[in-house]
Amino acid sequence: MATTQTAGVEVHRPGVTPSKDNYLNHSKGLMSWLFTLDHKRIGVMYTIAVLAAFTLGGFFALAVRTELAAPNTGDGAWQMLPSGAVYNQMFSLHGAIMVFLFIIPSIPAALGNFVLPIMLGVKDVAFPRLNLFSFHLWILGAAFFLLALATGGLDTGWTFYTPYSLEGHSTSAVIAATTGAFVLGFSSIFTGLNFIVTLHKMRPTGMTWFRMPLFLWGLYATAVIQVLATPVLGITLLLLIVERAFKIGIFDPSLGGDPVLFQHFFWFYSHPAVYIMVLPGMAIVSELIGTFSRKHIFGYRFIAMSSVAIAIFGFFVWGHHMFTSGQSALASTVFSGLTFSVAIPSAIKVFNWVTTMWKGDIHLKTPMVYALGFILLFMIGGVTGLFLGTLSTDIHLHDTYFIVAHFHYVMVGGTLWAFLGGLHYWWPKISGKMYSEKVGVTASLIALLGFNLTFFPQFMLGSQGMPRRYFDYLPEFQAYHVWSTIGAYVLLIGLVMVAYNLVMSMIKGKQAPDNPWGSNTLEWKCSSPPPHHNFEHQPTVGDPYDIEGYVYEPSIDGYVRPDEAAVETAGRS
Amino acid sequence: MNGLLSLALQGAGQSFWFPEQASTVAGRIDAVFYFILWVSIISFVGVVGVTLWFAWKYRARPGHSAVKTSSHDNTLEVTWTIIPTILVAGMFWVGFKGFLDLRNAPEGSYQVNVTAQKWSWEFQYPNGHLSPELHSWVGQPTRLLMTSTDVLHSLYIPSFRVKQDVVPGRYTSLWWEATKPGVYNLFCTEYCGDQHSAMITKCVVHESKEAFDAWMEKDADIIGNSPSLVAAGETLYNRKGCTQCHLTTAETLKGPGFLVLSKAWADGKALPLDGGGSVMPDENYVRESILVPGAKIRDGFKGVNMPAYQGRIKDDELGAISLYIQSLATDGN
Repeated sequence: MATTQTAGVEVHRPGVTPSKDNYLNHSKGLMSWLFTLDHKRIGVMYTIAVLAAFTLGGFFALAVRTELAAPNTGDGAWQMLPSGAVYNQMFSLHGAIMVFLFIIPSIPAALGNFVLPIMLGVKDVAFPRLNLFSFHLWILGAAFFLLALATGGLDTGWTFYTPYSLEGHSTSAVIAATTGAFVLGFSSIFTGLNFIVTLHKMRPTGMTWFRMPLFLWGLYATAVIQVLATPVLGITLLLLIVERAFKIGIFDPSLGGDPVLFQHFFWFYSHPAVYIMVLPGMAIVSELIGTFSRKHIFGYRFIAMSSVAIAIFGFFVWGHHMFTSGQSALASTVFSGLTFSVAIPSAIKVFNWVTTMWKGDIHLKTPMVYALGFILLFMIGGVTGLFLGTLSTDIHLHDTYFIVAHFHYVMVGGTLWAFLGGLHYWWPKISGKMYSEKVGVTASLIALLGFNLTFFPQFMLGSQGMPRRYFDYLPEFQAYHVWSTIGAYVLLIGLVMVAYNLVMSMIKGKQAPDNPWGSNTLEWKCSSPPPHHNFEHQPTVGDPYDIEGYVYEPSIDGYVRPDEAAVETAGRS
Repeated sequence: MNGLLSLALQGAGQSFWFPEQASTVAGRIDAVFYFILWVSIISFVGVVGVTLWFAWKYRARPGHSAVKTSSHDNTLEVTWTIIPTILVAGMFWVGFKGFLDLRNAPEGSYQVNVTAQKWSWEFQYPNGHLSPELHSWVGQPTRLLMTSTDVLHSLYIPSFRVKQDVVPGRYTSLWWEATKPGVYNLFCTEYCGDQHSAMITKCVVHESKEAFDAWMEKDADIIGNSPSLVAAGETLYNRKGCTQCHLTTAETLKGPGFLVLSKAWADGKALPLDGGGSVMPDENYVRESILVPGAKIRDGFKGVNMPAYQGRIKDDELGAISLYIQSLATDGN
């Protein structure tokens, strides 16, 4: 099937399909993108959209970190932002934008949309129109956030805790942001629903549940959480809007409501949401580790089932956000016990990944460097969670910078690292171009250094007693803050290099082969970029991790499978 | 910027991870922390060390290729399921025991009532005395009964390792027993708006009950501590609960603004009373209104029912408040 023109003679080059017609040039014009039903284009648009949100959220993070470089009074005082009110808006917008507009949709909606149907060997998701509608809802939700930004005054933090969020300074900003989160919730529910139906109904012949790639297991577990947990967030935010607009007492004690009830509702969604963030990340790492170690993944069933276990356990641990809230001591005790149950399946995954590398042939390509970075960061994020699940130590550490450091290790070190690993892994498939490995690996390592410099000192800051969400602080905390702020700028340099590398690949990158990494999942069996309908003919389904038959072919800088190529050539003549 | 490289540790007894241990529970909580820390360090070094070692040892290079090995092993899976389960069960148990210590205040604790509001703390002692800083003494279990007048706050004393959210519309509590005298930071750790980071005060631990009593006697003598009677009046206005209902401007909160009274007093004008009649503002009217608020109710304030201060305020304090109110009109207001 692969041909190139050389001196007028058609020469077959297995492994490269320079298809003239692909999903990128299949139709032209802005409208052909904005109203496309093609899951690949929707995935690309999501990728661009969530990266734009990430950039905006990152800007607010830098504002926060720069402000915190020094206390506002005393020797060497430094105050960049005009007031505590502005600072509070900066961290609120940072959190809300990063969580609702970037992390939650990043892997499932952006990479998942692009990859899931191709990995299944099918043309599209079960409901392409619903898929497009999900994206349009994302845009609408983002518009509400921009409205909140424009009207100013969103200073509730991303958690919208009552009664503060009921009496804050700007009704319009709080209602705009909660409406935005409500709309984004539906976007998330529809994507999850679409994936569940697609995975149940459209798996090709031969792909049993336990022959499904682990990325799809991760997306499946995530989709279940999205569909079951997100409605609770919707209800909660709706109640908040109703209470704020019509003064009906639900959460506000001055109207007879209960502010702690809001926290239960909020974390009933937002704790499972942590697994919406990290399960797809773990799923990407499960693809990367085996491929770049040239080994079959170790413990496939345990990795797959641990995703399901995390999704289920994740529903029963929300109260661990509330050990100091005033909930009963009995409830706190039960939630502490249940919280530790989530540690087990997470640990199982890590052990299986490491064992996969044993006696492998480890290629430290950019995606693998991200996967190893993920293991390092997730280990730190995971073990620091133990201090917080444990009741007596959590009382001291709760609402300090220890928490801030912990959840950044999990959510950024987990999700962002896996997202970037996945983006670099599938980039040749998405764009049809190869990026510079040298720049890719360097950028990843600089970002890793910057990240650790930013967030590791925050553990000590927290255990020493510095509360979170502080505009100003006591001078004894400054040393850690300085390191943290320097780290934020190092991280910025790394991320700018990532963006530069990917943009440059589109301008002058080499044509990507069909299978640059030698993976056996189905998305590598179509051309790079894929044609409009993904496959010219139905690919054969086998063990997704049977990669030993692949041989590196230097002329195309990619992998071919001699046994398969022979079959194909025979079929052709 | 000092201490940038040395991460200088300030204050006596401070360690790399913690501020000094100043309560009976602090040592036990820190021990749990160090137990988890060592489990974490060993796990981290083990997992990341092996990962990096594999990445080096099995790195792709000419002449090297992957060796096919088994892709599953139930014994291994069971092993690395059971070991972490035992470890986290241990963590749960020690954390639970420490939590019980934190939650159950001993019999005979000294109780201080706490009111949190944006953005200050108010501590009230059994004798009714109010102070913006928290005082207690070494060896005395002290229990705080807390509520908030507006949004959520959280009271946190790092050196004692105690923290509890303060919730409007209900009471929450915490307790500790201090082990060494000193002045400790007390933070608000639940985000509460613009001045959240300024909602910091001190917890002063006196070395004995006698020292605490001496402080109490001195602190309660507001007039003796003030540079003038007017200043004493202002402090009393702030500490005796007047601020809840009376502003020092002409605006009405629950009760009338003091500036209205002060101006009428200066100008020699009468103020209309509820149910007809009027009253000439003077020291006697102020005194009566504080001690027996129902005696003369100003027009428009019927049903407000200000609590009577009869028996809760001293004569010289009444004089100071009266002078302070009188001074409002002449202080450029």
